[in-house]
Amino acid sequence: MVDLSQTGGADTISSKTILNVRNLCTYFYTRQGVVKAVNGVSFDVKPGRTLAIVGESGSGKTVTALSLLGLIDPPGKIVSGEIYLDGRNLLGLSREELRRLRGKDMALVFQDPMTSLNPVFTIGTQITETLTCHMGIAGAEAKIKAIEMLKRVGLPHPEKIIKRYPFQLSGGQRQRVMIALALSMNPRVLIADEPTTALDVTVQAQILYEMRQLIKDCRAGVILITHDLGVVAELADEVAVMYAGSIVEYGDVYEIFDNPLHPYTRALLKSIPRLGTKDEVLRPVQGQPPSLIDLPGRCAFLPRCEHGAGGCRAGVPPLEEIIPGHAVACHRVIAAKPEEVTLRELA
Amino acid sequence: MKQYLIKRLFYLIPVMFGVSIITFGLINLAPGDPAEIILRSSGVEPTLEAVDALREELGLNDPVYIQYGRWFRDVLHLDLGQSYRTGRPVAEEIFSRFPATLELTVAAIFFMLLISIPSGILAALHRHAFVDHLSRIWALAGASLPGFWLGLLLIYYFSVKLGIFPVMGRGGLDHLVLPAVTLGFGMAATYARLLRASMLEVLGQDYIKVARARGLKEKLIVGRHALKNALLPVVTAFGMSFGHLLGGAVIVETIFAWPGVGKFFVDAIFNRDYPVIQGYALFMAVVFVIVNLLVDIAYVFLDPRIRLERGRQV
Ligand SMILES: Nc1ncnc2c1ncn2[C@@H]1O[C@H](COP(=O)(O)OP(=O)(O)OP(=O)(O)O)[C@@H](O)[C@H]1O
Ligand code: SF4
Ligand SMILES: [Mg+2]
Repeated sequence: MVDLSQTGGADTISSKTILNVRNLCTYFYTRQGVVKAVNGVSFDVKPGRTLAIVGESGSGKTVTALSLLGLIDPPGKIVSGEIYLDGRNLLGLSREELRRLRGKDMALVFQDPMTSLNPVFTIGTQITETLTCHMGIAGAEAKIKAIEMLKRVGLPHPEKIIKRYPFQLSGGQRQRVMIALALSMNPRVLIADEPTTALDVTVQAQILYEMRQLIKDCRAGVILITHDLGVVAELADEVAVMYAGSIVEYGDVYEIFDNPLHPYTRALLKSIPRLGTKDEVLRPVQGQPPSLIDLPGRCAFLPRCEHGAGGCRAGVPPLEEIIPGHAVACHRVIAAKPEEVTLRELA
Repeated sequence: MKQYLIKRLFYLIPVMFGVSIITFGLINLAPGDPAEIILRSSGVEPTLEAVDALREELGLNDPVYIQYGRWFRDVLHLDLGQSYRTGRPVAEEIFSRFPATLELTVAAIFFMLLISIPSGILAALHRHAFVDHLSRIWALAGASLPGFWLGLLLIYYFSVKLGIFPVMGRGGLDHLVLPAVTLGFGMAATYARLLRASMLEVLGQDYIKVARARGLKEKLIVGRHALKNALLPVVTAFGMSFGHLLGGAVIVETIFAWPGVGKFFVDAIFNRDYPVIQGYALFMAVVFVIVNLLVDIAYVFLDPRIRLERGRQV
């Protein structure tokens, strides 16, 4: 859980966590104005645990992930915040130090496996160059290691796969290659940005199952970005719900599913189709997310909120720990006594 | 790959057939009776009898398809007729001059690559910065300055005023510099911009972001991952614009008195030396086709998707 009474300082951070993000703000300075894509986000990642970041399209999930890796290109910029990896503030590192850390201590599996691999190089080349880069091994040695890695993610005939080009593999195979690449250096933190959305359903389930095994084995802390709540239920230990660049609810996965407090989280959960009921169609949350260019000085969810009231205009609600291990950013929930707050009452 | 090549060579047959018909047609489209022109250029009074006799001798009274067949057979035997002006076989004249033209074009291409690849990459990496603006201005200049003007300018400064390079003629490497620069300048500018645009597009791709996330060095990402992809459209364009290079060579050879086929061709035009004009057109068409074949092969080597997929289709 984020200790919200403390907003920074390595000394205050629990030794059990690997990655601590405090008050991260990443803005894009566009011609239309400043896009506040990530606006004061804080969370912790623990070894062997999976934090899911959920939220609709454009809520800032990918920008958060890229910020952690130091991969925000102009006109984007991390304007403030702290990112501690094993107690070391990444924002204080040089470009070269960050580069050495990427792919090794912190690895990324990106949204679309179709476009994540360079089309004009073989799988083998792309794996071995990564090995050369971080481990200094090349040639036959690297090749053996590459085959080993592909075996680990359950790819049959890895010695053939390394000779193939990305377009010769299926989506599932490519994503396994990406996972193999990401896990090859035994990273401390694995960031998986919608690792399965681009794949078809049966492959999704398989990959998720394998990922769960692999993650368990390597004891990495995992940030899983998705808008599939089914995936969250399957893999996550903790959940952060993002809305318009901020975390609006944060807590243990059971808490979030059993006792969602923020109206947005509830709307999201309601949007999951339930088999066997009349509700089989997906019902997206009504309304449009706000423009990130001029965010209002009040709750950003207000125009879409079923429970909105006059009091919701009183500034941006802070993310507050309501129940131990469960924080929420909603004026009405915070105002109510924690014991009184239950799903049924506000609904 | 082998299959692709065979297929590609097979396609050459109809192309070359078309080329041969057009080149053959050239002579028939030309104003005046060829027999009359031949007589005139060899200083004989073209009387009716003399023209008729020559027409009979040249087979000009036969039906067109017979004439074409005969001409085509000769071409296959590398017999392109004789120059009216020099009286020597056209093929011999062209082949003896072609090495000079090849030397000039290869040097121009080399200059073009030497300039356009680094400046294209730099302009893409420093978009909207000084290097980029500089390259934009230069591209504009390269596209709008006529080759002959640039050539004369270079001769004036580097040969006449500074005396660094010889004014004209073919010889050592120093003779090659100014003509090659003149010929390659415009193209280098265009290609730098082309590569810049292509690099920018590639640098925005997911696989570049992912390559960075893998911790690869920026040099490797730009120089290998991005460049190889960015070169694909550039290589295609090169095949298309090779014709410009050949056209440019005609002018450059004339300015620098470079003893290549281009200059020979210009002389032939002024002298209405039809067999030479025809032979040159045919020869250059063949060169153009070969270059495009080479470009296609290069493309196939750069892009595995085409190499493997086209191979499979056959
Ligand atoms: N380069 C950029 N320039 C300007 N705005 C950007 C840029 N990159 C991202 N943004 C903005 O940042 C916001 C967050 O984008 P982000 O990609 O993080 O969303 P996401 O939550 O990952 O969505 P999705 O589920 O569609 O992947 C978006 O509104 C987007 O318009
Ligand atoms: S603060 Fe008000 S508008 Fe915002 S989520 Fe809570 S109830 Fe809805
Ligand atoms: Mg995203």
